[in-house]
Amino acid sequence: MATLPKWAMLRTDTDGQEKVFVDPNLAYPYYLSQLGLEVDRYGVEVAFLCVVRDIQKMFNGRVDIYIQPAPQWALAKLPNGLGIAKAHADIDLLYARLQSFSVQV
Amino acid sequence: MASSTSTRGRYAILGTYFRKETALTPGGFAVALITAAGVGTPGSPIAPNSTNCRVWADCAANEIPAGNGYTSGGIIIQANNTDWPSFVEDTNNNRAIIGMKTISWTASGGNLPASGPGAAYAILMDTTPSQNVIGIYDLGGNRIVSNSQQLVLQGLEYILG
Repeated sequence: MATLPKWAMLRTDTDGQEKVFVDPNLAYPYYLSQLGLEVDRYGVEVAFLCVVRDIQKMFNGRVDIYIQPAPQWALAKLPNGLGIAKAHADIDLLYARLQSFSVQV
Repeated sequence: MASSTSTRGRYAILGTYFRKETALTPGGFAVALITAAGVGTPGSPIAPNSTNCRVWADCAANEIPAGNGYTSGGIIIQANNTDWPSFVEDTNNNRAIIGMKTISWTASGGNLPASGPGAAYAILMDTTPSQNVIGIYDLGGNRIVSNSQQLVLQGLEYILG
């Protein structure tokens, strides 16, 4: 397993399962900045999907992830932007772009 | 990839968790491919959705033909963390997401599908006798791969939120 980025920590959850705890206050701004995206539903969903993909990559796919509470990142509270569906449609392309950057550690 | 869940799938998930309903508890799952006819006919296609595609029988007539690397009923997915490697609890959006491993079919002996207009939807169903449909994934067009090429489904997820 690669070194986890500073926004992620491997920890045992209350259900006894080992999970990667993600701090969205650190993780989402990183991806938004790298991809030049706004803080809206589109951008934050893209950031979320990038977080999941990067963590999966570090664990060769099999991993449980816990996104820690940070209500300011709730999609419902954000402007729509291009929307959540578009984020899912675009993620392959955007994530491929991200691969040219180094992962933040 | 656009997707939707089925009402039967949600029902099955709740029945399994809260009532331990034997009839709803799957030994595993399968992902099968159907054409754009969906739950209709080739002449009158109807897109499968959360309410019209509740069990495999609703759309099985439009499964792509077996052969050239495709087996009727699709690919079996086990109920374990190997075949469902990704599991996310997103507290900020009140949702949980489980992700399936990448699955693929390799065309062998000719095009896949062997005939017809191509695969337009992937159907995730359980392996109970009812074959409850859990998820419907729009492949974004009629997909045909030529001999030795792969049809790959990556990042299939089920979101409970």
